[in-house]
Amino acid sequence: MIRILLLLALCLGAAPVFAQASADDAEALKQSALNLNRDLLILEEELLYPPNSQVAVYLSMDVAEYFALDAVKLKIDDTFVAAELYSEKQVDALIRGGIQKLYIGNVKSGSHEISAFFTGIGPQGQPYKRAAAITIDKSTAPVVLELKIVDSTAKLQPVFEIKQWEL
Amino acid sequence: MGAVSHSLCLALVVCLSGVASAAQKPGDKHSAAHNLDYGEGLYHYYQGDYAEALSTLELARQQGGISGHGHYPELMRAGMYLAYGMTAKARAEFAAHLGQGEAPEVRDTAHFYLARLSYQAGDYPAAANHLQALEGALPASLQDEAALLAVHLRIQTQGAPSLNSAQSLLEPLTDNTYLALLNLGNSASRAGDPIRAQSYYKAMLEAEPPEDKNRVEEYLAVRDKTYTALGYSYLGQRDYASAKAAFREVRLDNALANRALLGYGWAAASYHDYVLALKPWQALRQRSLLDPAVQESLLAVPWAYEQIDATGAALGAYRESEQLLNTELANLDTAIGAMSREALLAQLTGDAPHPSLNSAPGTLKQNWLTLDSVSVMSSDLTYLDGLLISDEFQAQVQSLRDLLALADKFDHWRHKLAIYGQLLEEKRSRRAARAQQVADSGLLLQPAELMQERDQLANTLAQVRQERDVLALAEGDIAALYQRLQNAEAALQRLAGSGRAPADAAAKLKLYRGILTWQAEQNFAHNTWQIQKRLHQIDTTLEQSQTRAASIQKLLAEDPDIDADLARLAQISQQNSQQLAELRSAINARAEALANTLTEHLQGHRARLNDYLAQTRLSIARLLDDAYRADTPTDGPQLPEVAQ
Repeated sequence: MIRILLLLALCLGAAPVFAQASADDAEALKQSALNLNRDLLILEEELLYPPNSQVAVYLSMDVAEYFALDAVKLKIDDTFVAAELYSEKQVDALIRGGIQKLYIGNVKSGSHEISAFFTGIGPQGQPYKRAAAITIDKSTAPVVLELKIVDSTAKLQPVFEIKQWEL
Repeated sequence: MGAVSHSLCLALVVCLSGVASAAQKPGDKHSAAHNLDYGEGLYHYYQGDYAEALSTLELARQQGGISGHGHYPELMRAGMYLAYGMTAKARAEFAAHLGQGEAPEVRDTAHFYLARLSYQAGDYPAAANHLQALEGALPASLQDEAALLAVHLRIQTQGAPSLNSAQSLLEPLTDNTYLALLNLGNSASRAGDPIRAQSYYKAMLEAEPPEDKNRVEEYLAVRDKTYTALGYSYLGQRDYASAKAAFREVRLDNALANRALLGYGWAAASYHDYVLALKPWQALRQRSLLDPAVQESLLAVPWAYEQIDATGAALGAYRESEQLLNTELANLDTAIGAMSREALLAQLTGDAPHPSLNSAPGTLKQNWLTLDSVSVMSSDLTYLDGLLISDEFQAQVQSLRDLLALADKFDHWRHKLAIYGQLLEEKRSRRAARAQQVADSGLLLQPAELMQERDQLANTLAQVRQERDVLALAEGDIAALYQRLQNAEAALQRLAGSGRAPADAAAKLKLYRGILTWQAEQNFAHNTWQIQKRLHQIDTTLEQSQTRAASIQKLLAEDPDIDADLARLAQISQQNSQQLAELRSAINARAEALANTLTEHLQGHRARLNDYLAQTRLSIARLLDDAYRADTPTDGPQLPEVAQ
């Protein structure tokens, strides 16, 4: 009888230990997976988008009182290179401070015109479509642009800007 | 643990994302992050892709860190680790922000999360130490959580104090006041002090409802629980009228009402009002048998009929209970038979998984997973809802979901890496073809040939300068006139023997040559300098061409970049395959364990129902036996003929 009780106590005591070990294993596995995923991202970028030809375009929203985003299209010179229809979840992520990497690609050295077209619902609840453009001079350094949707409290309108980041 | 961790991490994100004020909540407007990597991490996080969010932030850390947000991105990352179920990593990251060099709000945030982690691990002294270390700089949205944690810590270590003594604990609370009062009351009740428990319950019920419409439903749910707990507390004290009054306040349109309905019935039955007791119990038996209160009603209803001598109705109710239990047991057997690792994984990865296994949307939730609020037996898995709402089970499911998402991610990488390998091979082929083309055209030899021509030009120039042949470098009109002069001199020479040449022609031509030479002499230095300048430009261009040609020659000969990339690709592909294999193995093991847990839970439920079925059959047999023994059955059933 005592033996059975001891066995039972051991089993009960062992359960949390096994659970903890399992949690530790899962954490170690996740950590190694995250490290590998990071290395894969680095490799992919270096392989496909070398700095001397890389152009990356991000999208951010600084508040969004006057504009409800539906879609963004991106054009480099005469070619549309990216288009995104935004879900509620994506817009929510942007409104809460997130920044989306909208596009990463390659361009040749020299001058290029990059245009972005924004569609959504404007301040009066009406369909709203605006564009912004920038001309860049591509050198050997990567080009990083941020498409910014900013509320202008002075104009009570959304403002669409393209900012070129200095790297 | 994961359940609470996720909601808390969301609170952390709310506090720390961008430059938003700490009091903001999900759905409030935030400024965009000032750092692209940080912003991208947040974007992935809000999309629910924790692995990508953490990878992005780790990548940013490796490439020089995140500027413009102080230490908040590091705290954010720690919070994301917490949400991702990596508590040890989260603990280490939070612990790195306790130093005096940190901003007070950063230090307080780290202390709070470490307190939370310690509490969840059952290390109450450590949790208390971290809470005591708070310096009053905790972001506003975490202050309420910290106050609730202090209450729970008090419950775990010393039990619930009197309501008056608890004021210092309750004062810092805002949104969580209702929950704290309920939990303190429950603690006092468990400790066998109903008077103290009732004081907390009443305090909760007397508290002002929230003004925020988003919090009304949560308040009402806590209120229902409080009324139910208060009712049972009165029931324990035999204060049946007060118990009934409390149970009556519970809303009937939710699963929380089951225990209240059962209690109301027992309160009525306690002073022999069985007809009144039957009303809630009959309503209860229409609900899902998953709830213990409903299971109890299967026996309570016929028992109440027996108490009012309605034997026939009692027998009918017992038989109805028997039928319900048999049906439920058959359904359970089907569910147990269908439960397997594969079925569970199919539920988790399918297009339409059971709602209980769905991830919560990116809003504040009590648990990681949403719980199906509909308690009808719409699918086999509804039998498991009782288990599924437990934090431990949900953390295990979330961990499995995380591993499945990672496996999916690395499976995508496997495809992409194969494509990248093909791209590199194609690049190598194109390069070989181009090399052949270059070799055939002799393109790389052209700089050397051009260099020879340049050398000849330089020699000619040197000779002209040495001989001071000013007319050799003449340009424009002088060059044209010099050409005409040379033609005239040649013509004069041809006419010299014929005697037809003009007498003064030679002298005139000599004069012209002299004039032209004098004019060319004026421009000789400039022309020499111009040619020398061009020669330098040619030198520079040829030098570049030669370097480029040599570089191309070397590249074509060795293929160093492609070889290096291919080697790197092969290595990381192997790592990817290994990682994928480990993930799949872990997924299978965890799914198997979860399926076993679920099966055990179903079997436990089956055993409980079997007990009720045995009691029901026993009661039916007893009633039939009583009727058989009675001389003149009144409203009871006619006994069947007993076969001889």
